[in-house]
Amino acid sequence: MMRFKIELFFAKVIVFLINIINPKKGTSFPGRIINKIDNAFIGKFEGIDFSKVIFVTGTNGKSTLTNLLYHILKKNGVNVVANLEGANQKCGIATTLIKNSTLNGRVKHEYFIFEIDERSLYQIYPYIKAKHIVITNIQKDQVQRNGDPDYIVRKLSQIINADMTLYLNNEEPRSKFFESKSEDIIYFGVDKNSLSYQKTGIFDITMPCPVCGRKIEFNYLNIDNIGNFYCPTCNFASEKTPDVLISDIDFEIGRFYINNQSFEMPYTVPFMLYNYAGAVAAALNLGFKIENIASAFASFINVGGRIESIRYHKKDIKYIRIKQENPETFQSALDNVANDTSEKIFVLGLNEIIDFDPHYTNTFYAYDCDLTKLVHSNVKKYVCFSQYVCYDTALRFIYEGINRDDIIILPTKDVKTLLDEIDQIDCDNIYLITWLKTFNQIKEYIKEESKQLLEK
Amino acid sequence: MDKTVIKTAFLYPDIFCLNGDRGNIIALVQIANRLGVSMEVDRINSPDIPINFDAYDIFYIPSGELKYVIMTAEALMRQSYAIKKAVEAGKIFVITGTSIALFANDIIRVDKSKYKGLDIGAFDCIERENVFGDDLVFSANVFGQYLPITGCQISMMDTLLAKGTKAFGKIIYGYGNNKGSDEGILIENCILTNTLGPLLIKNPEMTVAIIKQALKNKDMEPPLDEINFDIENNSAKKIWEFIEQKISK
Repeated sequence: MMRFKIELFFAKVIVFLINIINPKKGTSFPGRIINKIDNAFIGKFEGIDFSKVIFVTGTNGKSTLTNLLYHILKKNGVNVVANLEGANQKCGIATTLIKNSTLNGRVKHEYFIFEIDERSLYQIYPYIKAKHIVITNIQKDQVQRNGDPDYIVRKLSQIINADMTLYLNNEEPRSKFFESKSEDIIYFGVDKNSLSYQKTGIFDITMPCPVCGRKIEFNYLNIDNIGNFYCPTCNFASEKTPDVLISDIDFEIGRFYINNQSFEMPYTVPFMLYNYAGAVAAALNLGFKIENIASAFASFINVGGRIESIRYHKKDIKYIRIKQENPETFQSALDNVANDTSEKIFVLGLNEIIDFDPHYTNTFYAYDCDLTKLVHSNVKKYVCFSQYVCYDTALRFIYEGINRDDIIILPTKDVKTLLDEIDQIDCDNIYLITWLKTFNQIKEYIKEESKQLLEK
Repeated sequence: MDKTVIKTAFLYPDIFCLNGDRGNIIALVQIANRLGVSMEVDRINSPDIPINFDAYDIFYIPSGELKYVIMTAEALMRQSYAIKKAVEAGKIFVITGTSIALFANDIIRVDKSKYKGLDIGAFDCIERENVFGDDLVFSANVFGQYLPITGCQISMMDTLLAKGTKAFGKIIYGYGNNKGSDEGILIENCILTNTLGPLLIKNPEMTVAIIKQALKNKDMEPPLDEINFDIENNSAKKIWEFIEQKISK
């Protein structure tokens, strides 16, 4: 115990110093150092009741769901701690505990909500045996690290066990596949709504059944590869009545219902609905009243929001963030653009992938996405920019049938060249999809230009 | 004049099609169309459905997860004789990514469990714990035409070729079948490559060569029209610039 107290003191000093030197690294760096010294460090804190620890894992939606569940509990007057800044590996969990503990290593919070990287669960669970696990979805993601979705299913399967309450996405086959691991399952789902759709084209694809390996059929999709499903071969299917079902969804007024309780929709986009459903499922099972959960929704702000607007001269640039890690978030971004049917310029800056070594030029997710809705949404010009894969990006549009003359290709990462080109097009409604880093450079350039104009 | 017709079977798109591989079927249709060749595509959705191999000229199998490759190989065992006959008859198969394991002798997973492939080629596939993702550039003889091929790989297995088994290409940049310089496998007119994603869009001359071979198999004259692939060529140049920069580091 004495060794742990010394380690903790040392860790708190690192936290203090890093907040002065480089606060951006403060969410994981202290934990990384201390985990190297003591691999079992995160398991030595006192006062953690595992029956009140919730892990949120899966491919998409972890951060938002964690943030929302934390917000619900906070609004209900609960003393709760969470890793809200997205540091979701073992070092991030360690840092969160270091920051929220006394010098004796006691954590005084009642509830703990941790977003957990799906590959890191096996490193964390042996020390913090959470009784509640939310699995949002398991989809293609960061293939250079994860290979394929089954790789993640196998990783999680090593840990998921009968001593857990599992919160499973009723409409995502790989999440629901974990139902055999525990008797204590809570299914969450989203009913058919005005934005639900079906894939019927010759080139459209769904996914394999995780049980028998044959084709999964979707009665309808709410987002890509998530919707009410069944396998005609082995009968693996969505539950007819999930424990928590979002229904009567009205995107116009921003409202939905769960068990006759009305909820305000903080963000009226389909991909958020499963985050709402998962958070409500967990909060209800933890004993919170549905009306109190609903009241928290009205004030929820998603800190890591994906959509932002900026003015450049007369242009209104609507930016939608993607990480270029998986097709589902890219598809959601494209659908967002397509939902605006007024005349527009669509600017797409796909880049080489630089997450891990070796960096490489993977743009193949663009071919997993369905562009039909986008190309029929009144796009005047398509602008493809980036240093190395702009032609590759343009090919995606050309093979979708877009006229070559309607595509502008800019082999550059220079934001001035990009903005000059956009400025010359006779349309002020601009949609931009690219990395956050490039968007920040654009914002910086626009800010600098405005400053110089004011000085003149 | 009526367009000539090639029939393509798009095998198990929902079970596989992991990494934008449906771009390859789009490429076959569109490039055939630009050549003045009509291409018809049938989806074959289940390995439980018997295939009429005589009815098709090209078979495309996209990249998939090893778990489903093994399940599909097991289901296809009942048709393995028909598949072998189709291969021997010179039918064109294009198989990308991990799905090449379908034609293997043995498939060995990380946990050492061993499964049977369809035994079409003399090679084994051995899954690795680590994933290797990178660009992939190699040269290959595609039906008599030497071409540089550019693409991506997400390699999760080593492919061990038995003596006498032909590789499809020679690595210029990337991870070969088994860290060596061989890329993929060539069995009669079957192209098995570790490349995945929209290979036939990024390498349109390869697509043209496949279409011409399909016509040749039907004793039809290949079209003489030259197609302008300037954007595809610029794409390959830019990617090669990127790779050169990596090599120089």
